[in-house]
Amino acid sequence: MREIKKEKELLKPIANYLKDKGYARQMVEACFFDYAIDLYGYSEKKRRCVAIELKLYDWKKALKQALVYQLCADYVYVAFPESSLTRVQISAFSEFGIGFIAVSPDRCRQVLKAKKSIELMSHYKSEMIRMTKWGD
Amino acid sequence: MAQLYLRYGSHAEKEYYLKALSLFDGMMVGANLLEATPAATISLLVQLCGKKSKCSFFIDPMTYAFGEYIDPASKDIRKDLDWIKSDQKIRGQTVRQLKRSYRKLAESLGTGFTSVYNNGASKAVDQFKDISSLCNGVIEYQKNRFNELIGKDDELNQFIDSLPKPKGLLSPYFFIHEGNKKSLFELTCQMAQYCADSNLNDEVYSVLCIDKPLLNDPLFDACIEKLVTLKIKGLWLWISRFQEENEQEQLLEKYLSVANKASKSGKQIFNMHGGYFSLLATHKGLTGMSHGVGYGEQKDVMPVVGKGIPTVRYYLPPVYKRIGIPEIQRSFSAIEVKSVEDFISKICDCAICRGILKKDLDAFKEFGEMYRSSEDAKRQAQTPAAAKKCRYHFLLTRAKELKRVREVKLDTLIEDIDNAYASWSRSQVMKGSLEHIERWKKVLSGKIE
Repeated sequence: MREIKKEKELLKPIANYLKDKGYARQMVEACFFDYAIDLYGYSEKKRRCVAIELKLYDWKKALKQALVYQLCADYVYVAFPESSLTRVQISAFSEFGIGFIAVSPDRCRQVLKAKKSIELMSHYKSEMIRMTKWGD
Repeated sequence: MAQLYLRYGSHAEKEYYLKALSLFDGMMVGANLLEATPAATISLLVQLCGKKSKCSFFIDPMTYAFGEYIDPASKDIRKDLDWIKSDQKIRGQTVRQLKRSYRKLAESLGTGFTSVYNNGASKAVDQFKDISSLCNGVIEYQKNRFNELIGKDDELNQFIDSLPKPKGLLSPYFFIHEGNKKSLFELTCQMAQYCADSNLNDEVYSVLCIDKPLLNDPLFDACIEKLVTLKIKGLWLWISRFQEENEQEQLLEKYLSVANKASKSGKQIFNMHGGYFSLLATHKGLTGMSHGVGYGEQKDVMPVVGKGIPTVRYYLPPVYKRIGIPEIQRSFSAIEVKSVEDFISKICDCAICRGILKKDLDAFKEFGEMYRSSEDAKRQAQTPAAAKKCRYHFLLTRAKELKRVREVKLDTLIEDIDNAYASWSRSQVMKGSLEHIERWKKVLSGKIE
């Protein structure tokens, strides 16, 4: 199986995976203060938002970013290449309700389900939905 | 008693000084700004540091700008003074030459200054032949430049009787780095000695402007040993690239030991670009410091250009550091901030924070508001209104810190930072942002040799 070597290679499989889950409206690099959320998705039907941080190696940095994204998204996930999964301490994510997705070029696998963020600030969620120009 | 001077960066900062300077000891003004805008600068100094004011001021002669420097990108030593030049149209042709303010400054610093700089380039230190003339020019500038400028200007004549005098006079100084350290440490001592000996009725300060690694250099120690024996009132230290929050214990200890040594010798010692650690260091011998309004708590000798307008982040009082708004908000649950009252008791009770949070706790986001400055801007930038709120909050907080540092013992201040660490380290998102507190505590608790 081909290995994912660049962060941007994670994007397409994850975007498709989110679409399948109903998050049809998506924004790449959504601005939240100084942060650019790699992928922000919104499901009109469920009225839910999801934020995804893509990372190849630095899961600790991803965790910190994901914690911040819990302010503006109902669910937050970190996506990592399937091939690098052994490097990650998954329990660190579960402690904070952050989900985890393992990505291969042809599929995504939910390793850890995200819990609904208890840190969500509804005005941030509304602003993200309102301000974001949704792509296809 | 700890002293704090605000460094005036540009007239865009004027309103902060009008409203907040009285909370501090005074201000420091760069001579290049005085040359660029004499009327505005003099009238502001008369207004804020005039005879009825308790605030005083220093004029930074900015002589280092005409010395050699290290290119921030290539690390090469450069003498071309390019960083204080700009492209100018002269008779239809574009010529790169000194900016007007620096050209006027060089001319005003006296004929001796031509031994430093000539034909658009800085000279080697061993070509600085006439130290007495160089020093006289720089000292005379600080003593008499106001009068000279007023004499030429009818509008400024109204200030002739109310002109304040600088609190002290700074001797000429140049950036000392590995490549020129031997000759420049020596020259700095010679210039300080000359200025002090020939101005016995004035308070003369030497300025030591060094590259950070030289803090550990034996030549630096020797220079301090010499300076404290001179008839100077004290010295201003500018350690380029020295960041109190990021430095390791050894370097912080060295910094404190220098402050201690100067103080034990009866000399004042200031950090030209300091932060809260420097305020704490006033309990270890430092006299005081200066910094800007937004915030200038550290400064590289050579400004890094081309990175856009920096974000003025919120200064988080309990941890004495600038932190992003979302990181602070994400920490609310860990430190149990659930209401405006909690925020005021646990984070900040300054007038700016109280005013903004009058609506509700969510309004805290106003400190970090972002916008796109143009339609094609790739990144968002902080709104000017948010930057202004952060600056005012910082100034009010710093004034409160100054008051507390003056009033309580170091043990109590160390307890403060210890409590802050215990509380804020409960926030996962703050991990990695609090390490300075542990280092500061360790260094300040130790005995300084």
